[in-house]
Amino acid sequence: MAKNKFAGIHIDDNKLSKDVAITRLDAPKVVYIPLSQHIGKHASSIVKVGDSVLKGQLIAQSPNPDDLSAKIFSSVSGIVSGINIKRPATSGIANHIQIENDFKYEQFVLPKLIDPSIEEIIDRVYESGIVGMGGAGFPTHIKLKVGDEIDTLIVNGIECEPYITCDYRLMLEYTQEMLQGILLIAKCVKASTVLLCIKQNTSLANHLNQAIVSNSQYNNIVVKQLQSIYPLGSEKQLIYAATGRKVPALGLPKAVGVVVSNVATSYSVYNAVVNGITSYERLVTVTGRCVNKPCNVWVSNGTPIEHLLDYAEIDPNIVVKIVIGGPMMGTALDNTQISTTKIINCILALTKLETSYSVPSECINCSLCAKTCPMKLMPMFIVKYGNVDDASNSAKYGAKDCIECGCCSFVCPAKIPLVAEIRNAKKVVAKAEKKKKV
Amino acid sequence: MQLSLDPQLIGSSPHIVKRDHSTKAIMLDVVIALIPVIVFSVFFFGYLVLVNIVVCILSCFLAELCFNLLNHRLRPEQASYSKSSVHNLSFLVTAILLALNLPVYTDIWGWSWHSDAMMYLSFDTIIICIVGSIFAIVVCKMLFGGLGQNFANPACTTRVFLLIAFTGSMMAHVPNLLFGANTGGLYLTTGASWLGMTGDSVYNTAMHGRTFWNMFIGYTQSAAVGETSVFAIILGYGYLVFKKRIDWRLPLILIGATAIFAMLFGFVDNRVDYTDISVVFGYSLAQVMSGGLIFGAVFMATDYSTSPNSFCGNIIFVCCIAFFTIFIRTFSAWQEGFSFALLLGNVISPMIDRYVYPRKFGLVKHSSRRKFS
Ligand code: SF4
Ligand code: SF4
Repeated sequence: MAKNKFAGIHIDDNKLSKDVAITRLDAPKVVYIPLSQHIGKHASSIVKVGDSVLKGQLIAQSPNPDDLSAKIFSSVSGIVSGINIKRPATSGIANHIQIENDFKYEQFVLPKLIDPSIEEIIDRVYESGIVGMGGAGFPTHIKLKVGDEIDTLIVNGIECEPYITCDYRLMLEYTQEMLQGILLIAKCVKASTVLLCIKQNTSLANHLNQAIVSNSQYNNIVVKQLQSIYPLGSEKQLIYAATGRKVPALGLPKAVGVVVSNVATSYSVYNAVVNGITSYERLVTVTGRCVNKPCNVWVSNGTPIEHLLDYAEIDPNIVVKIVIGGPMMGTALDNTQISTTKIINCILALTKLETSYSVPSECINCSLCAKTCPMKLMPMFIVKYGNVDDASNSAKYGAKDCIECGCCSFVCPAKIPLVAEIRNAKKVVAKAEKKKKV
Repeated sequence: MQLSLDPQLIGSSPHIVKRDHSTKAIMLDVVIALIPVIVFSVFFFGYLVLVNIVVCILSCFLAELCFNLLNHRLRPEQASYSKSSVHNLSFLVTAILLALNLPVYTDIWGWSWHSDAMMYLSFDTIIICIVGSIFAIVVCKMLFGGLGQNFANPACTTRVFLLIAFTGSMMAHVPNLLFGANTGGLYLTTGASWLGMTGDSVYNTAMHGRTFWNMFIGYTQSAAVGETSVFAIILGYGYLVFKKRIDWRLPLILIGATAIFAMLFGFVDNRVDYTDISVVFGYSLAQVMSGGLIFGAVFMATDYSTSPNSFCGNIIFVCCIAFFTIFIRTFSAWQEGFSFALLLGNVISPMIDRYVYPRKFGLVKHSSRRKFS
């Protein structure tokens, strides 16, 4: 077992949908496709009301191809019935394109690439609008444009958050496609070693290893089982656990010669290059103890999540909290109108028992938060100084380094919402730094 | 589909927390860890110990509750019984620690109900307990903002306060009245009064009276009731470590450091005959086993709010305490050095936190100020 020496927490896995095979959810009558499904600049619509579009056709992009942005595609075939529709999204109100589904599912595909060069692959990734599907949503074509200093590609199949199982199912059911995608990415970044990291799970590891030995193409892919501890899936922690390299504080994985990608991203890259399919759907886990049928489904982007919750047979009487993403880092919702995007990997419907429901009290200085912080910060001091606008002290104890993994809030006996308060502290620090620069 | 989502619950991530994990649970665990100590001290000192504990608990409870109610202007969120800070049970820990830090009875004004051989009830002690509880809760804890905000351990500060307030004026007539009280019957030698002896005599007493064994079990008359039985304290230590409430290394480091400093200071002060190695070790062991050191190492130096927050900081903290303890025992008139030392440690602990904190993940050693990991 690889060394794995950062703090962190052990959480109950709660992988309710682990053994549920992947299904497909048909798109609803109307889809609302958000114009921002990635980090960076919002895309702007290139279609007009009344246009007819095909499934997989480009409908929005940033005017300048050099921007940090990604293209956006229609997930159904039909008629555009509205652009710039304001609807709730995970981060406030955002613009959406509304498309009436004609249920014909006529597909638009890009030409298939056979034995593509590096430039062709990167270009295709850009043309297909692929973003990091682990949750961050960083445009993949920019991530792939790296210099020569990379020697290792780490493929993240950890899913350290409880409940989520879509990557696990993907690795199990789409093994070949995913491995092909990994090869394509490895080619782009010129990595000589590929580490496919998964949680301690012998049967999955055997399954993957079988697939790897079956084809000599996969020679340089190594399946690495890592001891399960949250937040192992976090980039810096994963790199450390898998290779023993420490990404510098506030630095990027590039600095230690590593690129991290995700299994779902690899699958999309394969689909884009080999089948010419653009990124308009993704695998989503719908789970939680409030749904009667936890499931992993292919969902067209722009499907309102209430549609998914219905599909999973939610029990409306016991649900108290709906979360997008995992329970540790996800966002709680106040309504179910929000559309799915390329980066929403999980929808959780939690009962009162599952979620936290307690009143914060005073910090008792127990230093449990500092002991569990995987970044070795001191959350209680970040918060203490952040709350009184003392930016320099807050930064000294690590406000800027926090990855918002939530371990500290998880263990805090006083139930202080540390992560929320650290976000405030980050704002305080950012404001002070801006002032200094001016 | 219409869902009734509780708007109160739309909070920040994470959306799950550790189950059965709260301030209250931690405090209860400390109380459970103190039970063996209570049992042993009742066994050695009689039911009067229980009387002290009950009086302390009641007065701490009332003091904290009254403070909450009276302080409604500054802290309205605590100003009713149901919202009061007594529900975090920290008063219970303070009260029991305080009672265990007091002698079984004192004889300041002579208000007591006793016969020639037995003390039935000492009203002096009850008054001391009440005064101490109010001081501990109000002055040491609540005035600083309540649990977690106090810079010094309430039980320890109160012990020092009582020691100075009451013994100071009485010392001329009855030496060591409060801390080292004569309990009438059951003892061989006073833990604290050992410290006044030279190394040789300590060693001799130890060897011939088999006193180390007695000290371990608790069959000695020591100053404060809780400090008597090392055995009971080890049981409590085991429980706290098992429940991961304290770092198991820190009490051991504190005790080890004390032993080392005892040897060094014994040498400086010419107390020990350094030609005989068994005397040296005997002296050092006697220093460790007497007074409040082991009790304090387990239950008071590990107090969350008054110790530093990083492991390295804590090592510095306990080493300082060990140093001060032996320093005070060797060179000052006070025999009970540990309480003072802990207080000094508490005072420097915020300063330690300022300069000693873990090196952040991935931070390279290049900054001008060294950072300890
Ligand atoms: S301070 Fe940040 S990095 Fe550390 S445990 Fe808390 S959320 Fe995670
Ligand atoms: S875990 Fe909570 S109570 Fe403990 S030091 Fe951190 S913030 Fe304070």
